[in-house]
Amino acid sequence: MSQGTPLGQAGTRPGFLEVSDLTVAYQQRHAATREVVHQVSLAVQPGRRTALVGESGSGKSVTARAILQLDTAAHITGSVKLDGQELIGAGRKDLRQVRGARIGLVLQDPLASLNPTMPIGWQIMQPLVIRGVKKKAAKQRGIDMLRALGVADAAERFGDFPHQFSGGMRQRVVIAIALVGEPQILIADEPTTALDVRVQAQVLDLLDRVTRERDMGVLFITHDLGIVAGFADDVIVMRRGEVVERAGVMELFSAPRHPYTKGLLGAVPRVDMDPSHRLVSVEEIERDAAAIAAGLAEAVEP
Amino acid sequence: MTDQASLILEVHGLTKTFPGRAKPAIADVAFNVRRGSSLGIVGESGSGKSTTARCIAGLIPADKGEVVLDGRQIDGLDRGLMRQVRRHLQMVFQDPFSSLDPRMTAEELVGEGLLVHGLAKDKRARREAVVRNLELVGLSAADLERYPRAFSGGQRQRIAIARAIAVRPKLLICDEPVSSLDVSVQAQVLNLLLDLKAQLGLSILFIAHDLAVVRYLCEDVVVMNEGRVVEAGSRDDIFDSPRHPYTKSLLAAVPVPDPRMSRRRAPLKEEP
Ligand SMILES: Nc1ncnc2c1ncn2[C@@H]1O[C@H](COP(=O)(O)OP(=O)(O)OP(=O)(O)O)[C@@H](O)[C@H]1O
Ligand SMILES: Nc1ncnc2c1ncn2[C@@H]1O[C@H](COP(=O)(O)OP(=O)(O)OP(=O)(O)O)[C@@H](O)[C@H]1O
Ligand SMILES: [Mg+2]
Ligand SMILES: [Mg+2]
Repeated sequence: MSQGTPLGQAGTRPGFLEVSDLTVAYQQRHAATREVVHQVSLAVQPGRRTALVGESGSGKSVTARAILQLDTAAHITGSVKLDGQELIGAGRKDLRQVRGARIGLVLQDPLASLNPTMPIGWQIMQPLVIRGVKKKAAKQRGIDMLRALGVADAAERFGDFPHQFSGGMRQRVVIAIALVGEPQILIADEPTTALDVRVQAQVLDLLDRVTRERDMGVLFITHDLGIVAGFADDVIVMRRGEVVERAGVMELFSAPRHPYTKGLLGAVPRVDMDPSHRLVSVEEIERDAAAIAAGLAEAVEP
Repeated sequence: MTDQASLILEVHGLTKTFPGRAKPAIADVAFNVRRGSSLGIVGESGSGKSTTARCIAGLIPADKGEVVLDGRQIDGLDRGLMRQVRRHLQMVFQDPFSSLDPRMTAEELVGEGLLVHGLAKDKRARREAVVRNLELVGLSAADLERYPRAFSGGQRQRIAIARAIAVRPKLLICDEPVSSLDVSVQAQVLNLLLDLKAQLGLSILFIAHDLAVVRYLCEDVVVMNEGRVVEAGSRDDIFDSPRHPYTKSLLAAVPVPDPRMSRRRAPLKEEP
């Protein structure tokens, strides 16, 4: 955990999130508490995108949720500072002011973060309406946002309920809710998993524009290394609850240090790959140290 | 090659318009799945892929069309008969979070089909079968008593897959089954599906937006756009010489995991 961090200093621009030694444990029913995130440190800076990657179950979502303390069942220690203000242990009222307004959040589970009984348009307008934006203006901004995210017939479908939207459309509704309130920081947990590449590109372009125009910082959780390569500035690799590697994106792809990172790069199916090649999972790779030495790009053969 | 016995699934003229909608969600959708093979459906968000899957599985009624599973017409069956068919036609839903009952443990979720269809002789045999299936998707006996909320996104998706394959169906319909899996687990699940195909003759209808994944797994591909099938063919046809402009644009937009090739924007003002 002592790697040099490309974090820089806490600047004077607002929207600087600094997470230090974040540890999260859950009480289990018949057993001792289970620590699932251990001493994670990271920073999100204005205008910079940090990708958080790592295998399934490595603690990415738990980390994201712990930053905003969404799980009442989680035992959280460490520090989460937003522009110097400590959020761990902050009161409900303070946290409510941070959530949504200063830190927009896209949870991994789009359907569960939507209210099934309210029209999607109403849900998109809420962050604005709460802040006193007039209904008509809020509606227009909501529709514009959905349209910018590539939802066809956004105006006509504004009154639809979540179950009337396809999986990919729902995912974009959740992104719209997070962005419409113009947060300083966006934490997005696998926000494009249900989107085909064209819509995904459109969503990433929008995020790209917003980060630059408004200097929004982004913590982007994804397992898609194609997205990491094209979108992230910095990459943090987690494994089994800990940070195992952090690097600038160019450095990570050209010279991954940790065997797990190397493994991740070797397990990606590519459209330009011969389908008779068998993909290699990280476990297989770790078992086979020789494959690591040989370099994984060539090691995809069975 | 297309005689009846070699087909596990035939879909003819499937059409569905949701109430209050002018345009149909799917119109005249037709394709066949060859026994022991996998067919991929790709298409843009909202093009009708999930609606097609849900009509085939009898979860929503189609307005028109026929669905034939293993030579037997299954559209319009009543609930009781459909339950029997379900054993042979399992589905992994696009939304693994809300498709798992939060009050059931992993053991109950994966074992439910075995129980309902009487596929394990007693509780112990069932538990053993559940553990075997959990292990196939990279989980273990330690996970038996945990509830969905205590699993990560990818782990829940794997429970949904274990639940579907536990009853060893003839046809497995997967709606974006690997979209929230990291590449390593994804590789493991894709290899598992290939193995089940080879060893048990499982046939697969596979919906995905990731073309690399479809290419890896599926021999045949159907491309949907605005509720219709716009292109269908073998893997090689579609990937080597796509005809429809939509298919071409999909192939052109695939991100490549290499930052030198895929930086989509100007470098930041201040690189560290
Ligand atoms: N509420 C909870 N109670 C107990 N354990 C939990 C809870 N939530 C998550 N876990 C466990 O914590 C670990 C990390 O989960 P997390 O959801 O952060 O993984 P992840 O990195 O987001 O994975 P994925 O890519 O699959 O979404 C997992 O082993 C998971 O089982
Ligand atoms: N219950 C419903 N009521 C009304 N419209 C619906 C309903 N379910 C789906 N639709 C609409 O039908 C169209 C097709 O949706 P479907 O879910 O089949 O798309 P999809 O191809 O699976 O998209 P995605 O890739 O985003 O999951 C969409 O416009 C969707 O909004
Ligand atoms: Mg997660
Ligand atoms: Mg769908």
